Amino acid sequence: MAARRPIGGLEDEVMAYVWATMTPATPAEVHQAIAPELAYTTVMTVLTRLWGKGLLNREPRGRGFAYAPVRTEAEHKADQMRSTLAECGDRDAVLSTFVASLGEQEVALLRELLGYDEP
Amino acid sequence: MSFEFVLPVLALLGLAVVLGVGPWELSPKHAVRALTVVAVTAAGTVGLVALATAVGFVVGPARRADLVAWCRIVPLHHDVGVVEGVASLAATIAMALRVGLVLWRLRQATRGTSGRRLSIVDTAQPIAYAAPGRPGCVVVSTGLLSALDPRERKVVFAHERAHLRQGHHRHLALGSVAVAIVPFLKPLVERLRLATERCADEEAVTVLDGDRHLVATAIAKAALAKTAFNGVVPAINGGSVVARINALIGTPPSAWRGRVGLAVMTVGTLSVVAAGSVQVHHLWRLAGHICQG
Repeated sequence: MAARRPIGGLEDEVMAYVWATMTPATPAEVHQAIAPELAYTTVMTVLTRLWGKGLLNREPRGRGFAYAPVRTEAEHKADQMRSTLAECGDRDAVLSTFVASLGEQEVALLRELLGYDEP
Repeated sequence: MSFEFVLPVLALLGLAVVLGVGPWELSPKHAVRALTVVAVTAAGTVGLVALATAVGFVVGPARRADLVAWCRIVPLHHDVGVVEGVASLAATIAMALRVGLVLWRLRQATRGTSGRRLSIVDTAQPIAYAAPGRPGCVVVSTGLLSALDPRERKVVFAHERAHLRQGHHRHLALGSVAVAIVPFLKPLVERLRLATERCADEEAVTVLDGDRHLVATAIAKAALAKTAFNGVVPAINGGSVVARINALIGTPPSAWRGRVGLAVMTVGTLSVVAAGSVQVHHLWRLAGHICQG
């Protein structure tokens, strides 16, 4: 495993995890899921810092806390707007989107590649 | 229309088609640079020719000598016919409008992300893209995040950060403007877009300790999630996803094909630049005028 990784990268992964899971997550869960090779306290520190920045909410759970993302209305709206634009961008080729949409043949091909059952 | 105008335009468009459609294989980094140069030179030359002809038609050759200096730069030394003049005038206006639209969209798409590294959008629609700026922002939706496992999410971040770090938005912006000027360049710019995706994929492989299969899986899962959400769009450029996956885990291209690709791309790029610089001939003429006058 690489010895160093940028702290910003770890913050992104933590944010992605708490948003993807939808239920409040304990530091132990986050540690286990995204960075078991790092020290537990590192993940703990990142969670506390994200809470300090106002990006995460936390609630008491057992002897510690469970963390969930903060959803703000204004940001939500701005992001919705951008998401619509992202879809336009896909067609107009102004932005680098992660993946393009697929045609029927490609869907079958990729499902096979991932070992999914044929419908 | 004069020979000096038609020849570079035809040469450029021919090369753009050859480079955009041919089965050339090339390292993604070389391709990004070479294709950007070709697209910009081709669009620049065609745009200049259209503009010059249109201005020549509107102004008329007799009066051009009386005009302010910048108008005299227009490299015309023959009369412009009515058909040719009207056509080039219409083309110039259309080009200007299309370029304006592209620039406006670029602005819209990158608004509101400055100062943030990561923006998570709470929507089921699977989205991930890189919004350029300082420091540049990765925009990703909960819909995409929940379709992937934690290691696959790392692929998405590594991929989008690679786009930002390598400044691919500049290449794509130039490509979009080039297509706005010459719609004919579309296949070439699609290939440029694929090359930028390949660069970012390879960067993600490096970040993920050389795990090519993981990167390919993340791309496949994200593409399926997106297609499941949007519905299947027949004949859209989903071929790029398959091409990226093949490049990651398929059989690598043979060495000679790579070399042929490099040779074609180099020769093509040089020829295009040479053809574009035929226009320098007009500047030379202008310099002559100025020195005599």
